[in-house]
Order: sequence, then C-alpha cells, then structure tokens
Amino acid sequence: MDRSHTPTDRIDVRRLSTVPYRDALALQADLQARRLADEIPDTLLLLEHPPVYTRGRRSQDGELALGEDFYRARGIEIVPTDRGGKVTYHGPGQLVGYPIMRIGDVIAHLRTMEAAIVAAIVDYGVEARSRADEGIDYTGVWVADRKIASIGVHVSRGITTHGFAVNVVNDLAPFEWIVPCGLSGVRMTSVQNELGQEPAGGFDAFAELMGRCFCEARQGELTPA
Amino acid sequence: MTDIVMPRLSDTMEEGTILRWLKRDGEHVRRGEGLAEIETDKASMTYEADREGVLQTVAREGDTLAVGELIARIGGQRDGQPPSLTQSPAEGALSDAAAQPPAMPIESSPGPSNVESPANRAAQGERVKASPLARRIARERGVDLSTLQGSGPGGRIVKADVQAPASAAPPHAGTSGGVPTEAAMPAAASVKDVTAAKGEATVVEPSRTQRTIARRMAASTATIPHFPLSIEIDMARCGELRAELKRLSPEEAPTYNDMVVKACALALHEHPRANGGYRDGRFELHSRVNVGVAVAVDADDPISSALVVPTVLDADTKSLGEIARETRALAGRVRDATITPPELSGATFTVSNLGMYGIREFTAIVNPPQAAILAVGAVEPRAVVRDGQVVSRHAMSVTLSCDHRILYGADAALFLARVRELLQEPAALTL
Repeated sequence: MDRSHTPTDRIDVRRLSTVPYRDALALQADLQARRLADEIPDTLLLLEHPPVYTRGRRSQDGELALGEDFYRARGIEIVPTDRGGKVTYHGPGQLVGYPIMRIGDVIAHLRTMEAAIVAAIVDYGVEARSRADEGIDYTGVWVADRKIASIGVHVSRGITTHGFAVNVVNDLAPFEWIVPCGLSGVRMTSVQNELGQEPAGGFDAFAELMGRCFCEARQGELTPA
Repeated sequence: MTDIVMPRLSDTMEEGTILRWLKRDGEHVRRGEGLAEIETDKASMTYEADREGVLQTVAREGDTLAVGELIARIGGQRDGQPPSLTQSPAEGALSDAAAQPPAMPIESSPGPSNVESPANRAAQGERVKASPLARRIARERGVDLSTLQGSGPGGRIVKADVQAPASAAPPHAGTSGGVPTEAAMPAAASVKDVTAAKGEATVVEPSRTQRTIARRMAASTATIPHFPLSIEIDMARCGELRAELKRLSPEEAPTYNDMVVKACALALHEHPRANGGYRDGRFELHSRVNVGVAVAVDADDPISSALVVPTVLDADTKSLGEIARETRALAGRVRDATITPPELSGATFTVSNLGMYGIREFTAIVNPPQAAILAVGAVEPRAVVRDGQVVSRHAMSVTLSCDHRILYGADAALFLARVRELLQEPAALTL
C-alpha cells in the first residue's frame, strides 16, 4: 500500500460549540484539503448545529412533506449536501461528529462509527445496536427499532467528510415533520428519551465519552483481529 | 479505449449507485479529476479518473450497478490527435466523437457476432433498462439486451426475461471472429468450463435476504460453540386441547407450533439466559420475551426460496389465540411481501418447525446474537412405554441448539424439560 495512504492511529478530537451548518461545511472542506496535504492528522470535530434539515444525494421529493415554508417558519434551515443518504435533522442537543480522516475501506468506516456510538450509548445503560445486517437503510444506531443516531459520509481522494449525529438531549419533534432517511415509519429516539432523564453529566460528558469511544473504535478497526 | 467499471469502494461492497456524473459524456478528463459521485450504503464517494482522455458515459445517473459492471469508457488520444484539440470541453466533445470510428458503426449495426464487445454493451446501457442481475446474466450468456422485451416496471428487463431466451439460444460468447476484449474473456471462459464439466450452469445472484442468510449462518457456524439437546414430548394432551379448541372455533384453532411458541415463551421467562444473547463478550438478558418463527418464503421455488423470521413480540404475555392469529397474519405478510422490518427484528429466541414436511428431528443453526433456537419435528404416532406397556402415543421430537458461551447444558436441559412439561400438561398454555 502507498505509504501516504496508511491511516494514522492518532486522532485529533476537537470539541467545538454550536456551528451553523454551512460554516461547518466550509470548515470541513478546509480540513479535508489540509488532511489531503498531510498538514494535519486525522481529526474528529464534535459540535452542535442550529436547527437545520440537510438533504443527501439520495434525497427524494416528499421527504420534506410539509413544505419549506412550514419548516422556515419554525426557524429550521434547509441545506442540500454532498453526503450519502437522504434527509435528516440536526439541532441543539444533538451531538454531531465529523471525522476528517484518511481511510481505506469506506463501509468499514461506517461500521467503525456505529461501533463507537453503540459503545458510548451502552455506557449509559441503553441497549443500542447496529443493524448493518438488515440492509443499507438501517445504517445508523438503533435502540430496539427506534433510531438514536444517523450516519452519512462523503469520501473524496480517500479523505472523509460528514459523519454521524447522535440524539442526546435534543427535541425529537422536528424528526416527526420529515421522513428521516427516507425510511417512513421510523421512530427517532434520544439518550435522554431512553433514560427518562438527562444523561449523567449532561451533554458535555456524553460528547467527551463519544470522542474517546471513537478513538477506541478506530484503533479496533486498524488492529487485525 | 479503457473500460471504467463500478469500483469496489469497500471489501463488503456489492453494488453502487451513480449519483451524479461530474463530467459530461464526451468531455475531456484529466488524471485525478472527479468523474462521478458514487454511493454505496450511506457513503458517497468522488470517483477519480486514473487516466487522461475523453469520457464516454455508459451508466446513467441513478443507475445501481454491481461492482465490476461497465459504467464508462475513457478514450486515449488516437491517430496522433494532439491533446490541444480537446482543451475546451465543448470542442473536445465534437472532435472526439469524430475521432472514435468504432463507436459509430457498432451503434448502427449491432451484429450478433460481436454481442460481447464492450462498445455494444455501452450502446445497450444507454438505451435499455435492465436490472444489474439481468445485465450480468445477459453478458455471461451473450444475450443482446436490446432484443428483449422487459417485463419489469416500466419495461425494465429482469432476470426472467434474460433466462427465457437464453435457454433457447446457446451462449456464443467468445466464438466471434472479433478480438475478445479483456472484459469479455473471464465471463466467456467460465461459461465454457462449467458447460463442459457440469452441463449448463445458471449463475444466480442471491437476493439481499439470501445474502444476509449466507453471511449470518456462516458466521454463526464459524464462531458459535453450538451444542444440541433433544427431547421427546408426548403431544397427546395438546392434540386433545387442539381438537377442543377447533370445535369451539374452527377458524382460529392454534396449531401445534403455536403451542410450542407459547410453551417456549413461558419457559424463556423463567430461563433468562435462554432468552438472552451473547454479544461483544457480554450476556444480554432481555426483559421482553420475543419469539421468532422461521417462515419459508417461496419454498416451492428452487431459486428464490428464502427464509424470514417474523417475531411474536411479548409472546409470554399473549394468549394462545393471540399467538395463533398473530403468527398466521405475520406468515401471510411474509408471503405477500408486505411484512415490515420491525416485524422481522427484535426476536430473543427462534422456533423453526419442519414437522409439516415429515421431518422427524433436525438441528438448527443459532441465529446470532440469540442464545438458542428450537428445531421442531413432526407430531406423529410413536410406540412409547407407558406403565410397562408399549402403547401408541402422538409424540414429537424437538432439538434445542445452544450457544455454549451463554447457555450451558444443565440450564438448557431444565429449559427443555419445562417446555415438555408445559406441552404435556397444556392447561397452563391456555391461562
């Protein structure tokens, strides 16, 4: 394998506060270019977004069923993106992770993110699981048949952008106003919803744990079984 | 001309979707420039040109193709054509269309002798709607898709459309006078070899369900320390109960299998490890008892037959009648393919019954991460010893396959004994 493509085992975890979606896109583009030039190591951004619906490449009409005016009246922006997958919602209280990393196998990258999220959520006593075996519409993390985290990535020149979003303490109502991931009938949930109370240590403790779990899961992916 | 095929973006990738062409058909592309956005699973990827030349797209945006299928071709500089001619994309499109003599005659006269040529496939790809599987079978058999009438939605050519004429016309791939291309060679060779040794082979791409079964069963057998425990159960009292319930309500009488499901659910409630799962080095003990019932799909179709396992949620709290109604409805939804994913997941234990086929007993493979699966044989009259006398009784053998990482022999035996007790004295099932 080309040496420059060898993934690094060091990951810079950067905790940001609330970043508007378009600003985060620009930041990712910048980091992607710098990662490509090997100016920075693999980097994980952890942040929150103001309320926004983002549409992936496979978005279809009808996913935003109530009409754009309805959503804008509630202060929710709508942004098209170049990630895979369909429409999803981001908002305060949801932990968004953007790994900007040099990777080899893109599906292994999806599974690594799932494993990391499962590990973090299970730590709070919630039975989270991956449903990768059930087909591509089940990518993400679930508690029974309720979806707790969404995943969608884009890879260009071996460098990833976009990533995952875990519902921690966010309002779940905006998911009811769309067809999340194009999968109608899916119920969304959050860590808080599953626990019946705010997770111990609040949002920040979860974000910190998520960063640790991601680094551990990435280590696991690189270590031959 | 160089073939560009659907890239394998991951070891586990089987097919990909062309989300968007980043370069137009006929446009000049440079090495390293993005050609297309390709999506697999929830990941999209920019696919870059690995050479310079003129792009000729074959697949259309939105097409989903198997890994290795032709999506485009890139032409080199031919006939000493100076690269400077193709600097402007618009100009490049014109000059290069003219500079590719092979493309034109093939499009206008698709002779049967070069069905396998990629250029002709390219021409087909632009006009003919066909499933990836149909395309593959057509290529392997040398069938010209443009000669077929599609029976799928919107005239799309599906597997059956390709298979029908293929049986009439033997494959003639690789026999053309033209130079076989690299892409055509392996397919042609494999058809020939198989034909010589084992007669004509039909290569079937498994459905997603069949692929999932293959993966999970192989993983289960390879990684789970299985052991089976068998027990014979006297079903005479269940037979009487069934006759009684049938008299009361002929339509809704529970089957023996419904009784087995109910008995298992009650016993599972008392044996949390049998109702648990082994995952990531830990025991998962579930608060709910959800019993999956294996149902054959298209059992009479030797190609497409598959297996799905709809789930009776909270089977321990449901009455026998509810279990009977629900199982019947779920099996019906499986057969008309209207079942929804939540109804197929969440099982904590599985019951698999082949008694209706006359199978006396068998051993099933644990469906991970569940701890066990019960294989149920036929209820039949058997010679048994009762009070020192050999008598005929209706009996049934069941075999519990266990994951020894979570469910051990003694616990599993106690569980099975409880199931037997409940079925031999079935009054408890009706409570």
